[in-house]
Amino acid sequence: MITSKQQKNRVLKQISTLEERMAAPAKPGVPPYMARVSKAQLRERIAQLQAEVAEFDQACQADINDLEFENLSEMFKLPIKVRLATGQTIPQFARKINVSPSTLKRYEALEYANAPAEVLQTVLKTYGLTVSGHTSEAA
Amino acid sequence: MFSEYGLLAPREEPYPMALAQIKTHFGPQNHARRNIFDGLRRGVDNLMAAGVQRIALGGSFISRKENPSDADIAWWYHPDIDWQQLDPVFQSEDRRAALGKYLLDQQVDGIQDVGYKLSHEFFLRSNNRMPFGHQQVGIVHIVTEVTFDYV
Repeated sequence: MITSKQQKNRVLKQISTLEERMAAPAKPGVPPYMARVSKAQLRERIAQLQAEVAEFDQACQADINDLEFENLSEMFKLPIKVRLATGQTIPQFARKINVSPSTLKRYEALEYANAPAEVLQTVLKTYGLTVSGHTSEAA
Repeated sequence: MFSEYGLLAPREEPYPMALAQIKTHFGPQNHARRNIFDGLRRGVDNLMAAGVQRIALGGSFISRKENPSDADIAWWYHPDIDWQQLDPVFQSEDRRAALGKYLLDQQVDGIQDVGYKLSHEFFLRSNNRMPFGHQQVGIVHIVTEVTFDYV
């Protein structure tokens, strides 16, 4: 997920380049249905990026006592959302949970898929949080 | 070849790689990667047989990520493409069609008359989820044969 304003601005720039491409005419000779296919793909890509921006904006305004997740990979993102919701920079949050800023950057880049389970526990303990949930049969 | 974040190191020209090399470097590590490579191989075989001349590969499949979910490709329109031979999933408005059949998150390039910086291939050259200073990434051009290796 997007984890900084710098990343958000880059994504917004990408959205505007995709919109620019969508507005451009097709080259002569391109089958009309392929022009439609390309536009549909671009629309979908733009929607995907807009959803990521919305996720970042929501995380920045979230209440850390009421964060929701629907699957394991979303649960792994909780520390990122806690950091964003509490308005902390990477160095500030790294100090709080006792890891180096470079380690924290690596965790965030992979959405904590590479972080030991203790890190999530430390985040929860540091911010006085607990998680709950349930299992269900995979689709 | 990889950055500290496990991404293919950026360089001006994409890395030209044949499918056999892609398999060696990115395909064999686990079941997920073998599955994705199998889909990539089948999809690329169809694209090339239909006359597609340029295919770029990017995304997490060519990174150190242990369990990527798909392979990202940009393939380029060419006037000589045989649309009858090209699998309908590559001509579908729904990107999930190729994702379901080949595990390929694909997009066609070269349809609009725009510069390279507006192409999906250019889009694959950056990963905005990485920290500042690490957002440029290398991509692969899938070729039929290469004359040198990178290792």
